[in-house]
Amino acid sequence: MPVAVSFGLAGGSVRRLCVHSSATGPDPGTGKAAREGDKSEDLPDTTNSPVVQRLTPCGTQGEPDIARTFIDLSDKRLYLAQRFSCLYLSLRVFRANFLLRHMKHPLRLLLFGLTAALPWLATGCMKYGPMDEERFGDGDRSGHGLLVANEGNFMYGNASLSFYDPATGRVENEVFARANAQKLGDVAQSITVRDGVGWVVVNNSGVIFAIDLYSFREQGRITGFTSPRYIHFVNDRKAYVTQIWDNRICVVDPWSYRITGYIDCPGMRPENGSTEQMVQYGRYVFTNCWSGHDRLLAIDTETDRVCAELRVGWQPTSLALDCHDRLWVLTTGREEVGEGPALTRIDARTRQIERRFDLPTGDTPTELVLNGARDTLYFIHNDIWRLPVTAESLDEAGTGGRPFIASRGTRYYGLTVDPVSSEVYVADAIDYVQPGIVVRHTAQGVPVDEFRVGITPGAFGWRLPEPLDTPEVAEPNNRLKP
Amino acid sequence: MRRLLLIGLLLGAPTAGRADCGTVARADTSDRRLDAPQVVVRGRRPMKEIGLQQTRLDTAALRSTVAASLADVLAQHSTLFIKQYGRGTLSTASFRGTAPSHTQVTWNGMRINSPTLGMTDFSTLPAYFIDRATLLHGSSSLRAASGGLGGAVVLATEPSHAQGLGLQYIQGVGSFRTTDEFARITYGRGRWQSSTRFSYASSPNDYPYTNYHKKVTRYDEAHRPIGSYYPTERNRSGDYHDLNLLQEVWYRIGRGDRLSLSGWYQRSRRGIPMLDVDYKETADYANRQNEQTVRGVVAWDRTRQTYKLRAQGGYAYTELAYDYSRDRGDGNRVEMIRSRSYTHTIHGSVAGDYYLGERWMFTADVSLHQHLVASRDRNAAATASGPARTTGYDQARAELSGYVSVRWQPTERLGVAVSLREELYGRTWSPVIPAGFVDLLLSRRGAVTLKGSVSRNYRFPTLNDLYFLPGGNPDLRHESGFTYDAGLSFAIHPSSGRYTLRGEATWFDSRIDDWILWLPTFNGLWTPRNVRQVHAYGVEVKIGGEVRLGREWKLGGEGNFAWTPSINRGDPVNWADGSIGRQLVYIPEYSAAATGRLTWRNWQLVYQWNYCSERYTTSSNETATRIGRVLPYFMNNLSLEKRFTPRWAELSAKVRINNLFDEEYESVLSRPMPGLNFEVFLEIKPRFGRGSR
Repeated sequence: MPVAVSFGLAGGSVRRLCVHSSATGPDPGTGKAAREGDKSEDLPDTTNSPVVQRLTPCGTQGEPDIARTFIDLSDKRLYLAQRFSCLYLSLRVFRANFLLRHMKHPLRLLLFGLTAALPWLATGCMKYGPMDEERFGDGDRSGHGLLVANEGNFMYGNASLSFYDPATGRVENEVFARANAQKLGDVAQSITVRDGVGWVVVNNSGVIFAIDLYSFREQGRITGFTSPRYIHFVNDRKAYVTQIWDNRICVVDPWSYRITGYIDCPGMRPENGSTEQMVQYGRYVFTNCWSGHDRLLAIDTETDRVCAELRVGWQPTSLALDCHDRLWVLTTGREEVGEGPALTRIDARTRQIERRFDLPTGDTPTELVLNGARDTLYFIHNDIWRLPVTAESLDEAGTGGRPFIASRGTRYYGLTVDPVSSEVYVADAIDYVQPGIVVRHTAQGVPVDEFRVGITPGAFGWRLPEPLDTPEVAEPNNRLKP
Repeated sequence: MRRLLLIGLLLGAPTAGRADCGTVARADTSDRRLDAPQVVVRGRRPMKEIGLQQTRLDTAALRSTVAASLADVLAQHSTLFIKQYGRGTLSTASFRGTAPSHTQVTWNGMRINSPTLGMTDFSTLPAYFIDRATLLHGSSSLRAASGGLGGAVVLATEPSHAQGLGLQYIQGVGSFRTTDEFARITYGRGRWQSSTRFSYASSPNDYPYTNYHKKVTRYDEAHRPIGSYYPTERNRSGDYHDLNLLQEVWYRIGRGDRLSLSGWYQRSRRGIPMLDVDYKETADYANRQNEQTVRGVVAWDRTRQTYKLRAQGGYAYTELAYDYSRDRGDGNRVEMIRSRSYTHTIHGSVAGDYYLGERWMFTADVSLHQHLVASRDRNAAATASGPARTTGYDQARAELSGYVSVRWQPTERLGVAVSLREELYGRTWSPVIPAGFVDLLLSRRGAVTLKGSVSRNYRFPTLNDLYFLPGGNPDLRHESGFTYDAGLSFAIHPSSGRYTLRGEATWFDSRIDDWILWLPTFNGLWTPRNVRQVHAYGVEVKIGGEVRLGREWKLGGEGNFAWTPSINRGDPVNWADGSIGRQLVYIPEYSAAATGRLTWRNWQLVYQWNYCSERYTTSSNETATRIGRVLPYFMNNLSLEKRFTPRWAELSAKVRINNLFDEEYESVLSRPMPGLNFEVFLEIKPRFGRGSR
């Protein structure tokens, strides 16, 4: 059949060289002008960083490739020549088409047009394939910076990692995907930084990635979880991972990237299991049971068992340990039993509740974080509030009872404080279906910068200059949203 | 007097009978011109279709392959955009850039949209179970139901009109261990007709794909990376097993009266496929959706020279179960989500058409759908350490709908229609829903017709929007839409009969207010609110034709194209909101499809091509992202069929190749689709003596 020949041939020849350029669009890094769109999808994009175009047959699998050598064939002329050769072929074939004799003029044109267009239309050659890798860091292992874990949308798989340099004000988005040529996963819940490595817990993918904070390359991953939430390091060879939908906390060995054991949590079944953030006091790790519970658990790190439970208010969302060894917990409360939201202070040594501050109803308090010196608390309760750890009344919160940073009619989703400069960063997810925004404020709460990050920014981690990057300082600022 | 089918035949749609809830033939005058040996039939266009924008899916489209669901047919043969999560998975419609709940679907006159979710999953409706499918675009949907802010899909079954016993069996076997079985037994004797249809589609659906979103790195003993590659994985937890059984009986009482009964049983067991960025062990997890549905309609039709009547009653029961559980390996099966929904619907309606002379037609109908819904979720997280509490709701809602319409044809070229619909949902009356239609025959040569319509439409919130726990908002208002459209159509069929050509182009403009959107609130819960304002407008174009090339060759084709910008015109959430003025998520701006059919003697070659433009996954339409783009979609399918006609049966063998060029792609983020795959079908229709058709 003449028709079949023309598109079959054309399809075959064009298919042989399919351009995988799905990721070679403009740099998504400069968050402030994040709108450049790659509209010219028909022609290969040659404006790229060091790694160039990859021309491979459509539909072939990736192979173990250690030496990433690609053919630098960004030849638009070749591509166009293929297309036009199909047109030419169609013309030649069609003129010899015996069917022509039987058709009237307008139909002949229509049929001719269809056959000629078929090579274009048929072999759309959808752009889908491997991403290109980028190099970050260039060996310089100093530099203070903020990592933002963007949750993405549940079941979309569009979680991402952003990096902001406070010195230059420059933000790089999707750094994990760009550095590793793979996706981060579905719902990036938290980041914990230790020794220049960021451990990103990807909740709905059931994986924890260990990422070098300078090159953003993956160093390893731990799998086998139900639905992990946070990770806390006890020492170099032991870490705890809390979960939801599981009544066990996993014990992992970060060195071999394996789960080595479990801690059974009392008072919960697997279906309603929930453990969240963790802080360590001496040899005990405290964790809050958030979803559907009202307790804190104390775990003995020498025996890996729960040794005590503390009853606090309903649904403790976040946890912090200040410089006077006092635990602070935010709870949401339960309207139907008349319990309102509250901030509770507990002595970590005696495990007794010392003081309870009742917060105004009408919102859910979240994101309890500390500054670098661990002597000032910050949290979100509609607005951003600040409270010294020595406060005995909420009147000392904010400035004369007013919020530290007032809400701009929006709902804040994340909060962190720079451990070095005490600058405050607030994340706003806008409508949860578009890239969010982070606003940087001075230590006095004056906004000085804002930048676009990924979708639903919820968690933060700080990359600190080497001498300051020790667990005791790094961890308190990684208190994040349940 | 015999009623003659007109435009349908000439325009290539073979059976143009019922197209809405209940009325039967066309009451039009007609001229007969005899031209031996052919009989040429010509007549006026039916008054029922004044100003209507409709798309009829013909038999060739509905019977293209037994493995096709209505979702596949709609995606290929109409301007409706179908969002599919994969083979045998949820398929929802976006009609003219609107939401799935804005497309109303009726089956034999009964509404089948879920009263809890408000939408229909077209992948559960096998194409071979539908004999007539008509899409009513925009304002035209008011003839079938209200709430079709985008449009309506009207489905119906028909008797086969053959006497004696008829049997048809189709067996399909295909890639990924897919099997499709279809059987139909028909029996006609005197005034009775019976038809039984059975189908079973099953597949583990574990197609392989290269996972470009996960990288496997190989390490040496010191945990230094020595190499990496993208693994080849298999689609996990995406199996489906769908069973359908349809029993129908018709009895012609005589003089144009008829009784009919249809009963449809569906049972579907499906896995929800895992994302390609999921690192959990599949074997441990079960993510399943099981559904059982029973639908039945009993109807009485009366057709006379000047009027038609239809009275019908119906019942539907749907049980939907969703389970997400994990086997922990220590003897514990943990049920994380257990969700059940039980819906009973009782339906009744009465409809009538009355023709006054040759210029007037009056229509009225009243229909009732009484829904009784019990929704249960085992909310394990809501209790501290006690037994799991089940939350949910029990609600009943009666939906009463009344419709009147007047059609007037003052001259032969001009037709005008006005209709009014009024709805009562529970205790809430909708405002009156008016619609006006006009059409004008500009030229008899080519049947060039200008059509226009305007309407105001309302859609009530679904039961989940109102009562779901947690988050349901009983204070929701109905959504409202204002639509107008104008179109031009033509049909060329020269007397030589050598070819036909038809086409239609429509421009539409729709503004939808108070669109219901679920948004998170201060305590982390999501709740629906009437927030969105959408401007959905654009152009729909359809074209089709057949040409006879010599004595044994026939070439036919059809194509459609839609430009559907659907723009968010609501209020910004805050100062940084970049979604105003942008395209809605997962609705493409352009979509097109074309089908070519070449027939030679007993052979038929069918080629299908499908395209849609980029679907944005963010409300601000980000394109500068590497992980969040669903790029433009091009798909090619091919099928080849040969019919055999020995004395004892009609046989057919067909090979269908999907994804002809073995493209790798995603239609939804993180869900890779299968590459080249094929299916072989064998069909047999034994001839039983004089009972052959």
